[in-house]
This record gives sequence, C-alpha cells and structure tokens, in this order.
Amino acid sequence: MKTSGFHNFLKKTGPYAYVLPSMAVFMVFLFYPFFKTIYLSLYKTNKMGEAKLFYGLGNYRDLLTSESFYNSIFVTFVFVLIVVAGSMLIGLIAAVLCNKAFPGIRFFSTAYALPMAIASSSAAMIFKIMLHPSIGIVNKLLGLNINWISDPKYALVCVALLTAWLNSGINFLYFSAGLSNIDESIYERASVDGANGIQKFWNLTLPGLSPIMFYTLVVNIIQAFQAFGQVKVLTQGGPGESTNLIVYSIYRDAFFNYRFGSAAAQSVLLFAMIMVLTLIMFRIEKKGVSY
Amino acid sequence: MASLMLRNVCKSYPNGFHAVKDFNLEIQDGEFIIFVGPSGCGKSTTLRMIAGLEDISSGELWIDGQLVNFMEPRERNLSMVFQNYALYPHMSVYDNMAFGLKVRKMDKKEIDRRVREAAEILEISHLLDRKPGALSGGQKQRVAIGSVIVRQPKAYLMDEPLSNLDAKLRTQMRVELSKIHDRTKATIIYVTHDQVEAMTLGSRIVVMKAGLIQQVASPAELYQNPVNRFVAGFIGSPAMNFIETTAEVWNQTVFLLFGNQKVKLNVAVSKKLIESGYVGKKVTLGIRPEDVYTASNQDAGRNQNVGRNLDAGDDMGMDVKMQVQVREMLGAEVLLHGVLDDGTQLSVKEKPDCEAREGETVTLYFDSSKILLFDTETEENLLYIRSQFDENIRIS
Repeated sequence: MKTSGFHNFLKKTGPYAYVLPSMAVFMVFLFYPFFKTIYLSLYKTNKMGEAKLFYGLGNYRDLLTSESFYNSIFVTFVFVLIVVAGSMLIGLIAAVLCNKAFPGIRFFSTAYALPMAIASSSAAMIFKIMLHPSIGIVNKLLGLNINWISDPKYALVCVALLTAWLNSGINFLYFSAGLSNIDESIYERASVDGANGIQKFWNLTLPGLSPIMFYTLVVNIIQAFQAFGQVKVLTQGGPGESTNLIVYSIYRDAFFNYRFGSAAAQSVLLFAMIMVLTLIMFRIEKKGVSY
Repeated sequence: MASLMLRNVCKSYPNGFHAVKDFNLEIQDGEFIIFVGPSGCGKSTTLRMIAGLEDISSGELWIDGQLVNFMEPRERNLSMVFQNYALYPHMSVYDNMAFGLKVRKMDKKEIDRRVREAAEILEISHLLDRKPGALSGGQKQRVAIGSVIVRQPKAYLMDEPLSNLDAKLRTQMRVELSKIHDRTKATIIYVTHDQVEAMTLGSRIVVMKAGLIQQVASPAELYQNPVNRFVAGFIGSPAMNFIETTAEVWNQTVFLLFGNQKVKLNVAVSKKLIESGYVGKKVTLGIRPEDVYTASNQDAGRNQNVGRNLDAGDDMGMDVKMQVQVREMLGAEVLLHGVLDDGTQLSVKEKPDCEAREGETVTLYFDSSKILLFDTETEENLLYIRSQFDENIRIS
C-alpha cells in the first residue's frame, strides 16, 4: 500500500520536477523583477533604489500629467512605426530577391542576414561616423550638409532607420523560411493561368506569407518598443527630447535622476501597452491570416 | 481550340543531360494525345516546354501557326493541370477556378457564369466556398480540372493528373475526363506513366523512352503493331512475354528454338524471316499472355480464333512446357506465372476455370498468328507494318 502511494506521488509530482530548473531561472530573472517593478512603482525610492515612502498611484498620476511622458509615448510610436515598416519591407524585399537561385546567392543571403549578428551599439557607432556632418559618407554621397544626429527633424528618423536595418536580418530569415514553404507549383500554375509577376506577388506570395508575416509583425513591434542601445550611443535621447524613447526615458529616470518609482511606473505602462497591442493583433489575426 | 506542332524540339541541361531529343509531332485540333513512358523519359519535360515552364533548347514549337518558343507561359493561352493539383491554398474553390479569368480582367458576371457552369459539370457546386485544405483528393482533382475548363484555352495540358488518386477514383475520373473531352472537343495533351490511362483515354499515344519518341499511334495500333520490343513490353498489362530464340528452317518452315523446345511459325512469317536472312540468327519471340493457352483450354482458344487467325491445319505452333510458380486469381481471369526449361519467365492469362496449380508443369500453346518477332540486337519488330505516322518519327 505504502509503495503504491509513493509511486502515485512520484507520478503526480514527476512532471513538475522537469519544469523546475527553467522555472527557477524564470523566477529569478523574470517573475521576481516583474513583481518587484510593480511594487516599486507604488513607492518613492531612495538613491539606492529602495522603496521608502508609499506613494500609491502617485507615480502614475505624475506620469499621466507629464508632458515629457506623452512626448516619449509619441516619439516611441513614431519610432515603432518606422522601424516595423522599414525592417519588414527590407526583410521581405531581400527574401523575395534571394528566393530565386542565381550565382552568388550565398553572398547576398549572408549580407542580408548579417545585421542580425551586429550588436546595436557597434552598429550605432558605425552610423555615427557615417552620419557625421563633415566627414560622414552619407552627406558626401548625397551632396548635402545636414547635421543628421543633432537636428531634431532628422535624429529620430536616423535612429529608426538604423534600427530597421538591424532588425531586417532576422526578418529576412523569417520571410525566407516562409517563402520556401510556398509550393513552387502554384507559381507555375499561375504563370500558365496568365498572371504576371506583380499579380503573383499580391495573390500568391503575400497570402502565402501571411502566417509568418503576422508572427514577424508581433515580434518586430515588441522588439522595436524595447530599442535602447542605438539611442544610448547615437543621441542619448536628444536633441531636446526628440529621440527620448520610452525605454531610454526609463533608463534616464532610474539611473540619472534616481527616480526608481517613476521609472518602474513607466515600465509597467510600457508593459501594458505592449500587452494590449499584442492582444489586439491576435484578435485581428484570426480574421486576416489565411493558412 | 488549337493545333500544335513540335519540330525537332530538344531539351538539354547545362550538365550535358539531354532530356528530350529531336521531338517531332503534329497535334490536330481537338485531339486527345497522350505522352506515355517510364519515369525520366522526358514526357513531362516536353509538356512543360509546351506550357513555357521550361525553355526549349533547340527546335520550334508552333501553336495555331504561330511560333511560340520565346513567349511567356501567360501569353500562350494554355492551361495546365499539375500532378499535385497546385491549388492556391488560401483561396476558396470559387476563387481558385476564377483566378485565371480574374488576372485576365474578365467581366465579373462572365467569370461567375463560367465558374458555376464548370462546377455544375464537375459536380462541385456545393464546394465553391471551401478552401482546398478541406477537400478530398478527388474533389481537389475536380477543382483543378474545373480551373482548366473555365479558361477555355487553346489546349489543356495535364501532367499525370490522376496519379495521386486511389484506384477506384482513378477509374471514375478517367471516365469523367473522356466525357469532358467529348463535351468540350478540347485539344488535350496528357502525360502519364500509366499505360492503362494511355490506352483508355488517348485518341493517339506517343510512347517515349530516354527522351526519344518510340512510336506515335492509336491505342489499338500500338497494341497490335508495336514498332519495337520496348513499346511491345510497355503497352499491355500483364506485359508481353519475350523469349530469346534461334531461328532454324525445315521444309520452308521456320522453327524458333529455345532450351529443348521449339515453336513453329506460320507460312507467311516463315517466308518473311527467310527473306530477311534471319535463319540461324538470334530472334526474340514476343507473345502476349492472352495469346498463350494451357493444354486443357487449348480448344477454347482455338475455337475463339477459328476463321479469324488460324487455319485448321495449323496446330497453333508446337507445345511448350512451363512450370507454374504463381497462380493469381483475378476474378474474371487467372494469371499463371511460370518458368520455361531455359529459365525464361512467362505469364499466361487464362479463364478462371483453368486448373493449373503452383508447382505443376503445364503444356502451353502459342497462337502463332499473334506471335511478334524482334531482332535481338536492334529490338526492332520484324513484322512491323509501316503506318502514316512514321514519316515524322525517328526510331532509336
């Protein structure tokens, strides 16, 4: 009797034991910081980041009445829009170009996927030199004299395009995988049916990519919201607050101004925004994605 | 509908492989023509060249008097059914069928009329809203054919369209295809490796091997008068029996010797062999399983053939002994597979009342009027009767 009881116990708890190691990692690096952030967002903190004074929803109230926060949100949305559209477009075009076999395809595939392997900060350093007003190659090639990074008009676009290029590498891989899943014979049938290249792209390629397209879109949006390294290296949120993305603003509040409570509240709001957006996208997915 | 002409069409690949060699064929308006051959014989490649999906390495392709070698597939106004159906997975059945018309910017009402009419013919009207993923193999097949019909193109190209269906459905669809051809009077070029499909569907059959046309003929002609051993062996199921023999002559009659046995040839054939100088040489004897009779059924066989092929004095050749190895009961007939004393494998198609069992030795009679003879080296049919199609064809 006793043995069988023990066996039953093992049988029931065994599966949990397998999950335990990864659960422990999640606990330490994800769940604990997550709840700690929510906790901190309700307090005023000292310079060491310790909760000192219960402030309730005060941090949130302060944020929602702060012009700087709204600017951050606006800048972030513009940034996300440019990054997602840009990176998906570059990835898609590159993948479609590399979908046909031609001499040198390996070189081009590597080149298109390469941004994935470049650290955002080092890419930012390279762009900093390229965008330099006097010695940068961009001004030289375009014959312009623009101070790209120091001009509020261009700074955000520059950072966004850099990020779009950085993210395009992984999109290229996603789309390439998606394209290789589309049956070649439907293109042949479409050719005989009388479709031209553009008709085939709109009627076959895009719908065929729609499942992976949706996944890529969600990942890209989340990734774009979290961009940080390139802002830190290239513009530090400036000029003015023109590139003060919400993640950079969190960093600034926490580690420059030592207002951990406010930073935590912004983190919670960012989390809420991404979550709502993702939920909305999953809702739309059910209608728009064809398998 | 249209007529097509292929003149000296070749397909070679950069690695030096020649998939199709010197293909010459004229296809008349409304013909149901079949390309048949073992896999890798170049039949699909030829079809794809006609469709424009493969470049023609050399030679000319004319459709309705127009050279189309360098035309894009979409400009050729053909339509094609693929082996895997190639349905657009995200489109409904309706949109799948309408696609070829939509991209040609046809009037919506006309598209609707044609799609519904085709759906009616193929009995898939109730499936129009479904996606291909929710269809069975046979239904997908109908949709693929429907997409071809609505276009009303110059010719229908079909690349092994029935090969993914189960045997019963295949037979059913074969009948449907015949009906569609009768109804539409379309020019159809149909590729298959299945000789039953070829024989039942085609008004003319092109038999190919290793990129070369072997013979172009009607099904009956192909069956009775094959140009060489390959065609004789490829067409007909079970396949024709071949026995390696030596021709010897006694009293102006030729006997074919193999092992310890011999078969006597009739007068006309004997004369032909003697005239062509085959006496003392190697000759391959070909006889179809249905033209071989076992001893007990000899009389039945003889009676069937009296007045048609045999004269009373001819005793259907000499008797041949075969040891039965496998007996296959197919219901309406029995197949006996066995071995002769020289080791040659032989098949015999008999009536179900045939009593021969595995392990027994049976006496066989060959219907001498149905015997075909092939040159053992060149494999040419020595009794081949030349026909009108031979002008264009080069035999390997």
